[in-house]
Amino acid sequence: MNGNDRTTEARLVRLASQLGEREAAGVDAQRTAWAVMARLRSQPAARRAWWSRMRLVPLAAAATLVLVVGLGIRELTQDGTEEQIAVPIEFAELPDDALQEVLDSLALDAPVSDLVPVALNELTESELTALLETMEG
Amino acid sequence: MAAVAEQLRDADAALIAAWRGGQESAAAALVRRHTDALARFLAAAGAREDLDDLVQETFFRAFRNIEKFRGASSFRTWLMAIGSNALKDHRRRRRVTVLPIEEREIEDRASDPQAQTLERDLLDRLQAQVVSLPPMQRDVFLMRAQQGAEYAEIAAALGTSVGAARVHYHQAVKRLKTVLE
Repeated sequence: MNGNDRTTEARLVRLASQLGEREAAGVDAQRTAWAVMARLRSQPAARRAWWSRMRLVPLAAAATLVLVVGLGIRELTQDGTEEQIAVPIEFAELPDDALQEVLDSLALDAPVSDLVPVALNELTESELTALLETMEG
Repeated sequence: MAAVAEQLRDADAALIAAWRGGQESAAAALVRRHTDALARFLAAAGAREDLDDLVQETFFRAFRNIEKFRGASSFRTWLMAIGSNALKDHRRRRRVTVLPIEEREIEDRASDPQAQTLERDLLDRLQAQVVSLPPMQRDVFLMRAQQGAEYAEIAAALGTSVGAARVHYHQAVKRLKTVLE
C-alpha cells in the first residue's frame, strides 16, 4: 500500500465515520431505553429448553439414590437382619405420585415436573439404571 | 485512546454484571450509552424509517442473550453484530430492496437541501456504496471505520477469523475507493 492509497483510505474512513449521523440524531436514547425496558418486562425470558433442564436430571437421580440407599441403611441398622433390608431401587415399580413424592422430598429448587421432561416411570428399568449409573461413574 | 477504550469496557462490564444480577437501571444505562453508535451503524448499513425499531430490537435481543456475551469483543461491537442480524431479518421479512445508487441520490437530494455540497454528495455516494457491499464486508468496514475496532474484536463479534476480517476490510476499501475517484 503506497502513501496515496493510505491517504485515500484515511479519507474514506473519515467520511464513513460521518455516515448515519443525521439519522441517528433522530433516535432518542432515553426513549429507546424506556421502550426496551418495557418490552423486557412485558415479554419475560422464555423458559429454558427441555434439553437444558435435562442437565438437572442426573442431579435429581443422584439425590434420589442417596435417599433410597440411606433408607435402606437405616432399615438395616434398625432391624439387624439382612433379609429385611428393602432398598427400593425398583423405581419403575413406583406409581407416579409416589415417585413424585420421593423426588419432591429432596427439596429441589424447582418442581420435579420442571426438572424432568419425561415421567420417570415411563422409562424402562434399564434406562433408569443407566441414568443412575451416569452419576455413579 | 486504548486506555479510554479499556475504561469503557470496564464500565460496560460492571453494568452488564449489574443487569445480570437483576438491576434494571443497569440495562437502561447500557442503552443510553450505546444508542447513538448503534443507530449510526445501522443507518450507515441501510436502515431508514425502521431505524428506531431496529435499535430497540437489537437491544432487546442483546439483553435476552446476555449470557452469550463473553467479552471477546466490546459490548458495543457485539451489539453491532446483533444489529446487523436484526437488519437482515427485517429486510427478509419486509422484503426491502436496496435502491440503486442513482435512485437513492435523487431521493436524498430531494429531501435534503444541503445535499448540494460536494461533501454531502460524496457522503451520499459512499452511503449507497456501503449499503451495496456484501454484509460481512459492510459490517467489518463500518466497525473499523466508525468505532476504530481492532480486527480481533471484529472477528470475535462476527464469528470469523482475524485474517478473514482483514480481507473483508480491504475488499470493502477497494470497492469504496471508487466513490472517491
